[in-house]
Amino acid sequence: MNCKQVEDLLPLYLSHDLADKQARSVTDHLQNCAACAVVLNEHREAQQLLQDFAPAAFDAGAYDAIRQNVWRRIETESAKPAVTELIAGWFAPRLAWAAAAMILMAVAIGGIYLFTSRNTDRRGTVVNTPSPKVNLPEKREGGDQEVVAVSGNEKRSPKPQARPTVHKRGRETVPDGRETLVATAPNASRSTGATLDAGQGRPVRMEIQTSDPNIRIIWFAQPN
Amino acid sequence: MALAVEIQLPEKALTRNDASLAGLIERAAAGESAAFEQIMIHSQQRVLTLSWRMLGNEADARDASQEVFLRVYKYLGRFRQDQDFFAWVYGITLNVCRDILKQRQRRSYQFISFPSEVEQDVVDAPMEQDDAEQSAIRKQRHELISKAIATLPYKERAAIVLRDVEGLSTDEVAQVLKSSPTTVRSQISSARQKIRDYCRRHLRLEQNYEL
Repeated sequence: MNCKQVEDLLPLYLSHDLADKQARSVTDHLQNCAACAVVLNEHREAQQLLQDFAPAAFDAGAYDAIRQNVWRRIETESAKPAVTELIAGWFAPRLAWAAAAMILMAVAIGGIYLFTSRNTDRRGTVVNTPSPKVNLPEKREGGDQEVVAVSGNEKRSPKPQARPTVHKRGRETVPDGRETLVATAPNASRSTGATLDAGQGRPVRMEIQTSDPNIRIIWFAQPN
Repeated sequence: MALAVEIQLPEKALTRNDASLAGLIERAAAGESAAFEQIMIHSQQRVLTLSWRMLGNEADARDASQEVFLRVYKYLGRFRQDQDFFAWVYGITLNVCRDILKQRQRRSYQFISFPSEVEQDVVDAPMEQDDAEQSAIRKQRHELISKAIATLPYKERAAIVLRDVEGLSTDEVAQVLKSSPTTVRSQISSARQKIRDYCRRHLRLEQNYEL
């Protein structure tokens, strides 16, 4: 054990707070090292100063004064209501009104929400199952016939008239807008070459692509 | 070279609650004023002295003692009989002292051990019969150790005051500080090292000054 290690252990060596083995090593070192013995003496002097560090005995008056002040403060504090009681007393009527107001607001908000959501459902039905305004196709010679329909929610659509459609293998894709729905003639197949004539009394197959790409409504209608 | 390394610690360690103290505590907790008065009388010297050692002046120590007894009164119902009562009171005292030290720091006050004439009187009082030289030396040493303690961080200060000044064992200090004995040993070791360094430095300065 070198001097540095011993110096680090000396504060605890003084008060026998070291393990036996360490204490023995320190003792052995101290017997052969005058420098560390000096450090030990300095610690002992500091320790003695610490033990002498005491105030002069306080007189009985000091203790009496402390106890009297304690009782005075206990009486004062027990006389005035506790902070929680004070707050509760101060705010109790207001809290009742606040609670009533909150309940009313909750009911009102709930009612508005229900009313709004019901309207939304209704409008959603209109959008999802529109009764399309069918522009009956003009007869084209030897060509496909298609019907472009616009959804019932025409207010949202800036251009309710038929929009140009893109043909791709006999099917139409909607280039824009949620409200624009497309109905396709049932025999619009190039392979058949048939033409739709609404006036002939043959059923018309209607396909409507909703805003959800996974939902397409198909129905057959008997033209008048 | 024979070395005497025994140090005498003050004989004022914690003692288990005796039956009379336990009875007093129980009655005081039930609201009996006379019992609480007895508890205060029983512990006032310890509380005031520890406060003084932690705070360095009598005025603050008195304020701290009042606050300690108020808290004891308030929380006596929470005291468990299996606890050591004085360890519990010491814990409250240290908490109060810590609060006062924090207030001082907030107000940017420096910790000055003997800031007023009152404190000088406290030191002088028992030394009236000593000759002037002895009195001056004692006062100087007292001030030196007081300032040395004041340089310590709060936890080290609390540990060394309880261990070396109040004379509690390491385990008892750990109990009061709600810490482990290992941590307390480390704090005490560090504090002793700092106090020794402080005393050495200042004593050397004084010697140089005298020369």
